[in-house]
Amino acid sequence: MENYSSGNTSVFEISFDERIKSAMRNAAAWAGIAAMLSLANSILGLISYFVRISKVNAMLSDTGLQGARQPMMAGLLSPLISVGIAVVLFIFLMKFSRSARQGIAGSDNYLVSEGLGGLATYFKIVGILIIIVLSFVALAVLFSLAAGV
Amino acid sequence: MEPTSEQSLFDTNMDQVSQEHLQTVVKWTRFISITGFVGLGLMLLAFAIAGSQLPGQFMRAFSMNFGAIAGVVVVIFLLFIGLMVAWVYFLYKSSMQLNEGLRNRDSAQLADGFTSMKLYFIISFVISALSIIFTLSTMF
Repeated sequence: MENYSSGNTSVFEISFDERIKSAMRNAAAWAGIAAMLSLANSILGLISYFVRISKVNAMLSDTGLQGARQPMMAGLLSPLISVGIAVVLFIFLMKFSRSARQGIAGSDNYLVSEGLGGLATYFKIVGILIIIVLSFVALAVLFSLAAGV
Repeated sequence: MEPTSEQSLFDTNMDQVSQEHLQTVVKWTRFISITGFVGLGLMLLAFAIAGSQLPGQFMRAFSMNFGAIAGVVVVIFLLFIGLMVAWVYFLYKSSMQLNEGLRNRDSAQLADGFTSMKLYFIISFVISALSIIFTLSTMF
């Protein structure tokens, strides 16, 4: 079978040339920065929740309405889940960022592959989360239709 | 064969495992970006429907010039939508370019895919930064 070559690539191999290395290095660097800021954003969201809770609790203490605290603590679940998801996504995106850059710098195919594995897992988790959210939305629409809203 | 600027003697080839990981990236980024486009379309539709009812409510709620408020709301919304469209577009573009690169064994297309992905991460950074600014402004 003939091995057709076009430019710097062949049918069977993908050349890991300087251009792709540079593009992947830049993408990995920005992925790392975006991952750190995204995690900081989620942690700040959790802190913001506690700030709001303390403000509301102070107001409730003034008015003597202590019973309303219970449902507010239940609202903690959402920012906690958000931080949990952000931590998991951060781990895989940082894995891509670090391993890919180290692999490119040291011409280590194993590290590059490990980094790309991190990127694949990152997008897989995001995709699965979207499917879960869409399932909840579909269920909510079905229930509202069944209830005749 | 003499080494060229495009391919040196020290260039290596992308291994099979890396290519499989990239295939997974292509599959999921395509799903995420298409879902994103649909979501943004629905959001625009909802805004268009709500927008037709907003003027009357705003007029009643505020005894000031409606045009200024509506203008600010529309500009902020359009900037937000523009940012989101660019975000999803670069993810979709990256997915398509990586897919073409893998299919044609073309490293130039793969490089373009990673460049688009870089732009996607830059916009992710901007969105996170704006979100942090918004959270900080509401905290204090």
